[in-house]
Amino acid sequence: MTKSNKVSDDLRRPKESLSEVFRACEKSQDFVRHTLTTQYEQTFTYTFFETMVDGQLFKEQILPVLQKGSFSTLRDVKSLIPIEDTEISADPIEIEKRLISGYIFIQFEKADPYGLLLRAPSVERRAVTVPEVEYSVLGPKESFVENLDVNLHLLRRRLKIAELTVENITVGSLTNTRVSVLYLSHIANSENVNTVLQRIRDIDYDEIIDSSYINQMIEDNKHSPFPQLLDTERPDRVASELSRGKVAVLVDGSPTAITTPTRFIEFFSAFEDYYLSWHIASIYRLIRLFAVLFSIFATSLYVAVLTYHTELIPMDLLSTLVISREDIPFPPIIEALFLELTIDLLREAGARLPSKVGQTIGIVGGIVIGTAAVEASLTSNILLIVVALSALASFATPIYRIGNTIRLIRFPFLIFAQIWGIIGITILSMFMIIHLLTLKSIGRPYLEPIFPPRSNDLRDAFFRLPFSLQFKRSTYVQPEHGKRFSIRELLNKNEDIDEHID
Amino acid sequence: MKSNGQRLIKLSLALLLFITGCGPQQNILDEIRIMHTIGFDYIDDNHFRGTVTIPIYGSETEGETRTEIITDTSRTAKDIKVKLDAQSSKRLHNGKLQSILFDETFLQEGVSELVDTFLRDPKIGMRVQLIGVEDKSVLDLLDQTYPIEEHVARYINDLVDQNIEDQNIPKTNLHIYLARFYDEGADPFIPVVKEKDENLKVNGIMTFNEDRAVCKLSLRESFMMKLLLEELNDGGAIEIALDEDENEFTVLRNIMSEANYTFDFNDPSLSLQIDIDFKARINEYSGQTLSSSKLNEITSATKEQIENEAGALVTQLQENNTDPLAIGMHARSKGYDISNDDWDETYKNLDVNINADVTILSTGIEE
Repeated sequence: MTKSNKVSDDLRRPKESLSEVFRACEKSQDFVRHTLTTQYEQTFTYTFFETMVDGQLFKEQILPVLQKGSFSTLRDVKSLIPIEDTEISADPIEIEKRLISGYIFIQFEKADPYGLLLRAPSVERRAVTVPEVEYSVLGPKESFVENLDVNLHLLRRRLKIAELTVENITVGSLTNTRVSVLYLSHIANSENVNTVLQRIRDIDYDEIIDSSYINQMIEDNKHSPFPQLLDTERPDRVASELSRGKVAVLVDGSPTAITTPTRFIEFFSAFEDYYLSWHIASIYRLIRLFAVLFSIFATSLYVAVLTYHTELIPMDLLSTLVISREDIPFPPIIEALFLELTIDLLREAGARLPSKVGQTIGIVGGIVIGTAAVEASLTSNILLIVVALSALASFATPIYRIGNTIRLIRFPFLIFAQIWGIIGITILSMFMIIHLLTLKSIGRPYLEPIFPPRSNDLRDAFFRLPFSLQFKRSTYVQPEHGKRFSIRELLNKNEDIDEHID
Repeated sequence: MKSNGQRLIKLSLALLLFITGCGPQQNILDEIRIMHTIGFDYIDDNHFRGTVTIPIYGSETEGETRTEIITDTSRTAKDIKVKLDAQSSKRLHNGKLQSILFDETFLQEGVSELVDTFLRDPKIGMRVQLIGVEDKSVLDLLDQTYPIEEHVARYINDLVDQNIEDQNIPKTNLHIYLARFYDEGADPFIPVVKEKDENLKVNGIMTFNEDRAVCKLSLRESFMMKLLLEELNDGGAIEIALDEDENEFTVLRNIMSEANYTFDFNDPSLSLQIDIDFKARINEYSGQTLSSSKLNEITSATKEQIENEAGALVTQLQENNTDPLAIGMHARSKGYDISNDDWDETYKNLDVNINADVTILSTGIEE
């Protein structure tokens, strides 16, 4: 598929002449087009968008040169002005594109069909700050910002080799967003790289505001609730994924990077796992996985057991449960849906409100609604504990996107629990597992290393084994070079310090 | 991808059609009455009285949790459920049933008709305990409060469980009862409780022939049976009398024992050798000091008493034609054909020889 076939390209007809470009631009009030007459009676017409150009640079470096000099050709101007990125152009499309991205266009006469383009953009950039979504106590405290060049800088600084390849693609017919695809050319599988490049090139959409747009557009199964590409705001994480042979996608204007191919299990690994010792990290991973299972199944099991399977309740718990439910007028499913929706409402309200007000919401929700609902016999206090715990557990996921998925899939489980009890939960679990088995991340199996079973990749899945055992790159990435370091060297290193002293 | 999704949807719809019949009956926890115990009293050949205990859970408004009983007489086991439900404000649910009680007459007349109804109900767990009630009707036993435990159902169940787990009663439950009932080479047995002052007491076991109780064993005999049946691993206690006139005795605890059954098929009347490997610690001794000669004396006394009492027990069981030791099963497992009609006769005349190998592991801390 070539670019010209895209529907969105036809909507905007490319401009044919320079005057047409200026006519389109002049409608904006931040467009500047002035004619300057110098002391040598020479005229210059300079054109730029004042909101895109570094005004100080223009006043201090360009204007003085123009005013003092006497030029016969644009080439003379080009040689005298202390800016590297200059170009003489007559192409209206090129000139339009450059003007918009912060170039100054200089002509001798207003009617000249050509002129000199000077790069003088003003760059507003946010300072690199501490990661907020994926905060970690240990490790670097840098997170990506909205500026693509800064983000690339953060990555280049971490992977200091020439093989770190950056390929730029422009997508979005209105936004013209710069998308960078990064990979290590000697490690990354070229099939993976080409798949990602191809899918991004095939995107036909007018606005690409954030990397999550790209994420949703290049996913293998766009209708699955499970995210198939991992998004992260941590440059250290991206650098590490790149060194395992993965492909990263950075989007200008977006502080999150996408890495792929991704396994399901990776959504439950925080990057801090690599900063902690391996046993502690492994336990934390298992706790997170348990939290996820708890979060999905706890409320639906409560509904199933209380509605159908009374005989499963232990004797000692029976009276507590019956007493807590005695005055409640609803069946367990209504009670559970009511509480689950309340919790999700609190989360949603808390996420939309400014942080100061958000705290109030937490207090109102947690204390007032919770206790009041129990006191008013609308819900049982045991269910309140179960729902609150499972909400808490769903927040234990290090990647925000999968946390949302988990909160969502609780609801079908609740409904199936109400219809068929534990049989229903089992049926839906089977469907979910089958769905997960069919999922792929840019063509690589999603549920690996469970299926297809690969023992090598288990080294960094449910457990994170010590670095000395991570001598091979994960096979699901299909890296060009699988070996990370030589095991023989490692064995030599383990000799005693006094081994050769007699 | 699309065809996959469509196939999935079609498959799920097809599956839904298949499982509509599987939709279980709703038993919302607070809309049912949970039966904990059901008991049966024998009235005459055609009538019996059924009694259930149900807990009434108290909330803040209704006061404390208490146990209530519902009772009625009926002709058949199926009918009793209807009659009991007729008295209850909420549907009676038997999923949490813990024990099934029978009075003594019932045990002697045969219980299989009633046990059969429980066997066919998938909601009934196989760990339900069958319990006999001695000297009293089940109704009287259930319609009473005991100071040691608030709920009678809980009391009876925990009492029996505790005695099976840690004390002298060999392990049994509905599952074991049924397995032995349907096996030619074994007979079931159930624990028996009776009233003792204000409380209840486990008073040994009843062993069956077919579905009738034929022989009552005391607690001491129950323990001998436990020794012969189970592999003990740090449990039970036995009192050994050394000199009854001098009131000299010792108590052995933390017993580890295992019984081995060896048949001699060459013997025309079939003979059986049971070797008990018995290890224990001395927990209590009434005399002064435990010298090594005393230890030898204790060892030989223990050996003698176990051999005598176990022997007497086996003879008693043989005389009553009940086989709770599953000797028939042991014989069959060694290749002996017990399916012919005269196995009963062979069992009765079986020559059983018991040999106990006693080891005292430690004598405790002495001053």
